[in-house]
Amino acid sequence: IDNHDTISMAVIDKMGHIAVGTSTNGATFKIPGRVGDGPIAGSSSYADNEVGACGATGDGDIMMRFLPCYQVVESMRLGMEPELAAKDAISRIARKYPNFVGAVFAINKQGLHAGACHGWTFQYSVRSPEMDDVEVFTVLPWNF
Amino acid sequence: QEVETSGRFPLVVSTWPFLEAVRAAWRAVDGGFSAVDAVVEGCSTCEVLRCDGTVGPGGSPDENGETTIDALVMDGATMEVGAVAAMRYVKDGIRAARLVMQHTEHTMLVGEQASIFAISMGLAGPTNLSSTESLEKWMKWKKNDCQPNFRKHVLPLDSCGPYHPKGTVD
Repeated sequence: IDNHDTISMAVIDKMGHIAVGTSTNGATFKIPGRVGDGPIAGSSSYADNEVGACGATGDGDIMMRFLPCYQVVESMRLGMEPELAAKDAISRIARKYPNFVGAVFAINKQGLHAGACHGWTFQYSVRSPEMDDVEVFTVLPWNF
Repeated sequence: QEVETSGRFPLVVSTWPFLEAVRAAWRAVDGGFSAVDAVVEGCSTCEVLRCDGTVGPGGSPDENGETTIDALVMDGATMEVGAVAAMRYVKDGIRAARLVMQHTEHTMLVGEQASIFAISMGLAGPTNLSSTESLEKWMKWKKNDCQPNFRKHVLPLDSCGPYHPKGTVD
């Protein structure tokens, strides 16, 4: 699938404040009036300064039923590392919809980041002070 | 796949290799802008570049050939959220979402009412969000009997409709 359907972005600023954003024009040939996960807080993205943030992309019609980014942040709030939190959120959807296509990235407030995906290979981009330019990380589909 | 950033902050992370979007957000946040403003700069860059044809205007036509925009911004310091959904005629999705967050007590505005709000608050519009490419794609889909589509349990499923629920008296 070469149809990267959404930009979902998280930023931690110099004050340590975290924000997230998402923008998309949705699914091709959707029924007029259809709204996906893009504008749903907790689904396409979520942020809490006390914990971290999450961004999601994929089959929004399915993903918005599971609030994957709220789940990622809540898992990290309970002490889960970003990688496990991301995999856990994706696996909850995959258990119910084995054919769904989607991915999340997770970052905690310390700046540790990870991704998880299902049904496709996911890539996410990172820029931090130690990098000369943006670096792209590739995440292979996880077999749950 | 887990990476510890020793340099720490600021930090920008984005889905997909949308390099110019990440660079734009980085320039903003490294220059001292807030996380919210950096996120808006980053996502807005993808709207202008029409990243993969799936962000911003000119892509993903619906069954009527129209492009509509969904966008969200969230401030993790205050837990404020602004969102627009199925927004017509305005291409600046993430900026419209920030206007909802910063200038209303609401969380989400939808459809044409979101467009009217966004334009009243200074964004460009109304503009046609279709492009030559999106209309060509749509016309090809119409010629292919509107396949594939997102309908289910309807008749006729193999053509453009009008559809009615399958198994009911018509």
